[in-house]
Amino acid sequence: MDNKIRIMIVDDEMIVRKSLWTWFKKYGHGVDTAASGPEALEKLEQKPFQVMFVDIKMPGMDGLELLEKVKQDYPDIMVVIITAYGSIESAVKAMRTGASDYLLKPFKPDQLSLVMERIICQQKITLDYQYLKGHLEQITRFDNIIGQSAPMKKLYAIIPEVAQSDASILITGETGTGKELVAKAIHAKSPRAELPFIAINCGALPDTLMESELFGHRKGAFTGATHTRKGFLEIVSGGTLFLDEIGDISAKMQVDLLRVLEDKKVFSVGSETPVAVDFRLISATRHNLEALILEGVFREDFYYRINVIKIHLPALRERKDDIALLAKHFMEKYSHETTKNVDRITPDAITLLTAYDWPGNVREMENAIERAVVLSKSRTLSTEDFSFLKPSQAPVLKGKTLKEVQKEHILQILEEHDWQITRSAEVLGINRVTLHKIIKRDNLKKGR
Amino acid sequence: MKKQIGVLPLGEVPALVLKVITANITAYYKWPAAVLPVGTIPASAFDDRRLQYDAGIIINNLHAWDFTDYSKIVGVMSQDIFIPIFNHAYGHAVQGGYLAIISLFRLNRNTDGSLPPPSLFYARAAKVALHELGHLFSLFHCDENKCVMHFSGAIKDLDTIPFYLCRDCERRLVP
Repeated sequence: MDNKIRIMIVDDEMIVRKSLWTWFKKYGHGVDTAASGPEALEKLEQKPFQVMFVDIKMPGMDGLELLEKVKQDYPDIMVVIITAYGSIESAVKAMRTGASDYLLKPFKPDQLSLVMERIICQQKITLDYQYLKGHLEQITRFDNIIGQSAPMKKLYAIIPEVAQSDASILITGETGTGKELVAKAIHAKSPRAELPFIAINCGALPDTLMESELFGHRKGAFTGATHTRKGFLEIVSGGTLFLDEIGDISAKMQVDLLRVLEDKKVFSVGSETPVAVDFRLISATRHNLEALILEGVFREDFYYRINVIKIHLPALRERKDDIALLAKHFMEKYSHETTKNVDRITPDAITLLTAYDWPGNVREMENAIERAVVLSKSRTLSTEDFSFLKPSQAPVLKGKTLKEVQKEHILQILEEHDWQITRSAEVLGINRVTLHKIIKRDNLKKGR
Repeated sequence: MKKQIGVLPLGEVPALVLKVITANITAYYKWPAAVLPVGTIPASAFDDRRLQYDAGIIINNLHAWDFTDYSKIVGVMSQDIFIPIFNHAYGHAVQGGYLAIISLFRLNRNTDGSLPPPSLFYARAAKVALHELGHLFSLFHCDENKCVMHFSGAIKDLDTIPFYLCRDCERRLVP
């Protein structure tokens, strides 16, 4: 175990700060000093410390007051009280408030060594506890999917079960719910885990390009086909093909894929020789494919072919129990990636994140936390760091008439564009005169 | 060529102790060392309430002295020294610096108040000097109790540590 720890010395006497600083440096500990309670609290906001040595007698905020604040906001920090005024009462009060130990000035070097030994031992116990706690948290996640809510626990149970079969899987859920993560987890747990996992976003590729990407082409098959290229259906051979946004593919592509799924053979573009393929198909969509079938946009036979097993991922607003866990996970992730010391999030901020509806789901939340971590000036994320989150619209709409909703929407657009009529009218898709008429008719006013 | 390490007597110090310290520095750090002419302990370092010398003030004063021919200096004095906040110190050095001092005052008494044999007294002085010199070579206190960099808070601890550095500290040694 590395016994080096981060220590802060708080004492109004410079000579004491210097002596202890020099002493702890001889052990290779990370040491910082503060001349007063407020300075110490300011430094705690900037970076984490494990131990504080605090003088009890300081002008302004005394050591006991500082101890109380530290124990309230940073309960994990161990505080050793130093005093030349060795009254039993202050020592007892300090220990009752949560001090780990106390030292009477001047003390023998080996007394300090003994205190440090105890602290390091306590730190080890804390680290062991955190390790075990981390182990427990592993149970609340599955690969990179995080959550401990009931819908997520169900999902964790389904993944290993469906992974063993070769049946096609359709994952449904709103954008940002983690469909690709689930597909990857299924692949990772499947007998095909050692073989390729290829993900294609069907919504991002035009039909012709998608055909070439999936089926490959022979040299000279079309203008620009300067060499023969294998398609993903062939490259993925033995592995898992993940087709995201399957609801966006054309009718022709649906037919072509249906044929591949039935025959397990592909014809690359410009070739008449079939190539045998073997892959497991996982598809995903944010659309309601049944509705698309009724509209005649999606083929029913293809739908049943890709939908042997259906997994629906809940929207984040349907599993709000997971928000605090996700917030902590993303905060740690981006704190590590950006090497910023952001390791705390206030209860108010968690309340705000929980109240928000997250239309973009986990992806939106990840982006929000990343932004907050990058811009945060302290180690604690608070409500101010999330001021960019717009209040949720959905609950407001409940029980309202169409006219009321229209009025509120127009008002919101006007506020968003600082009541610039031309810009607001453009966004609303109406002309300026009409917007002026509505403002007058509905008595819309700035700042309401 | 390596610059020598200077062993500087401050006030009256037994000549044999200085020789033992010098020999041990050369033996354990493989570094040439020499005894310097006697220097005077700065009077300003004396704390008349504690009746001890402030080790930090002495080192600050030594900074003004000319030691250009020496890479590091280990001051040796017979009087008791302290570091503010602690009630005494066997030695003091600034981590990674070039000046250290040691005090012989508490080395010539056993825990029970009896006098140690001269050889034990010399051994203690050499260990404290080697330990403080280790700090000048940027070595930290070591967890290994078979290492001269292991912290000794009391005489009995000093008697149990060896003269040498453990393997880890030897490896970390920055000349």
